[in-house]
Amino acid sequence: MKLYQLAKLIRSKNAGPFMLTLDILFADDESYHKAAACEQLSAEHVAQLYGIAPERMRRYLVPKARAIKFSFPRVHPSGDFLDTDLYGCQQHRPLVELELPD
Amino acid sequence: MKSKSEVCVLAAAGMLGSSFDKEAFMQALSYNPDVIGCDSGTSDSGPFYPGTGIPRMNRKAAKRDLELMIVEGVRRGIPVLIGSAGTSGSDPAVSWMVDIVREIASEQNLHFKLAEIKTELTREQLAAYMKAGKLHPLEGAPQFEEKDLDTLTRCISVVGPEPFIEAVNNGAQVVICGRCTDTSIYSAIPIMYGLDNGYAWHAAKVLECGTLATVLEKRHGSMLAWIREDSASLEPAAGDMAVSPVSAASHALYENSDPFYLLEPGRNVITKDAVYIQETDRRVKIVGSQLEKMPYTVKLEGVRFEGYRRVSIAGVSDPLILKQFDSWLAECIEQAKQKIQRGMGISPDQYRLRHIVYGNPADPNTTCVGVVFDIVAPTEQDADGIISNVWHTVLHVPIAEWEGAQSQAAFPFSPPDLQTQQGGATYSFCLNHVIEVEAPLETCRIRYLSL
Repeated sequence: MKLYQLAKLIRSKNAGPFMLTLDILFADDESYHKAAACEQLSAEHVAQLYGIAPERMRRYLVPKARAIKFSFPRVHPSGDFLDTDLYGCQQHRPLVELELPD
Repeated sequence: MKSKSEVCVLAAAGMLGSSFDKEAFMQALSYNPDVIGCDSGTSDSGPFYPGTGIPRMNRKAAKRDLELMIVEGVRRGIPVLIGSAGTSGSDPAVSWMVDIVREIASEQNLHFKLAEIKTELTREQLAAYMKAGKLHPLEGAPQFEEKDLDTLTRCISVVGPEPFIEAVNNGAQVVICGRCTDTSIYSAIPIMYGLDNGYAWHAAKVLECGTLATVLEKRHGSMLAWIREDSASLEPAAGDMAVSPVSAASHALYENSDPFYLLEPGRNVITKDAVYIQETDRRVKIVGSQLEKMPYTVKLEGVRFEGYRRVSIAGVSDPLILKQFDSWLAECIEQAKQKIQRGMGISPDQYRLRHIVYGNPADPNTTCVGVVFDIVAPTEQDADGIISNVWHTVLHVPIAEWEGAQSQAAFPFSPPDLQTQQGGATYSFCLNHVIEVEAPLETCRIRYLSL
């Protein structure tokens, strides 16, 4: 099963000019708990997916919002010469088709 | 100070100039809110706006929204608070908005006291904080040292709710504030009435994007919050929209790196243990939010000038080029650099050149690949010369499969290069720090105007 089949929304966005944040939101508690328990959505694994040192990747479990959140520093600050995504809003791609156990 | 057991806060919209739903706004006024607020800024659109001080929003659209808020607010005696004026909240952006307010007052024959709050810091002020060891980087921000002061274009302090309270206590009916935290616009009046608690701040965080926190945002517009000693309630103004516990809780995540702790000037807002209760079919009640008082710090946003940008966009369709796309493009760049060196006497370390490829040349189904060439140079004249050398070189770099003169790039317009706004002026963020201050008003200048 791919993550997008379980989630209702996967998004990325700036959290200030120097940080990026990924939100995975679920429609029901069951999907949320299933995803939250997956090794593929551990801070370590997502850090690897994004090429970030594991100690710089922070993961938050937010059951009231049925959300899993990851925050980490941007490689290039928003609007910097080498940045290609001003709002940081197309950085969720590596998560969308992430394969999860059925 | 007067106190109130319940304060009603109206967020007209998530962003001033977004042409919010008038009908819902008028509906919201029937609740007799204690304040009408609207955020007008963001750092999300990048360093250009604080760099130049130019607002992102259209003047007419900003005026339309301001006029609705000011006419109704002044008529009913409700304070109107605008924060982070004109996108960046820089001094010129505040002046720009004050000018619009003057125009509205004169056209509508309205008379009221206007407070203008400017929040920029001079290099000298910043240097003094640095010297005192009071400047600290936030997570992910680069080091900022004394030598960086010379290249700093603008430094804007992001103030808290206290300047708004000061202005309203001094009789201001409309406040146009420079950069402030989004939540300060909405927490100010509850705090003024004695409710400096987790509910004022947590509700403010949900309010700051207007109806974005609803279950389904049919139209963008007004949100209401009621702040009390022991809870807050939230409801969209439009009768056909609703907030739910999940939609409200989800909003605490939005554009935030930490969903549980929100660091605000002098306060840490703790939403970790908050509970969201569906109060009516459209309204949510929040209990359990907490507030921890902290040493007072003010965030700084700062940018520096990088040079002048020029851009060219080329489409490449020839399948024989697409088969060797990377090496062909590398050859184009190399030849362009040599030509710029020969003709203009400018070496590659004197400007920056990058390219971004859109589309996949290796995919046999691709019919056209887009390449954006992007350069930044110290002068406009150099920038013009460099980009025209780049695109003209790309046009004619041959491949071995063809014989004779070849033209390889489809340009969608003439001239084939363009400049971003303001002659291509380009900036980068260099400050995302906090400073320790003695008093919340330390970084702002308040001026009152009787209109």
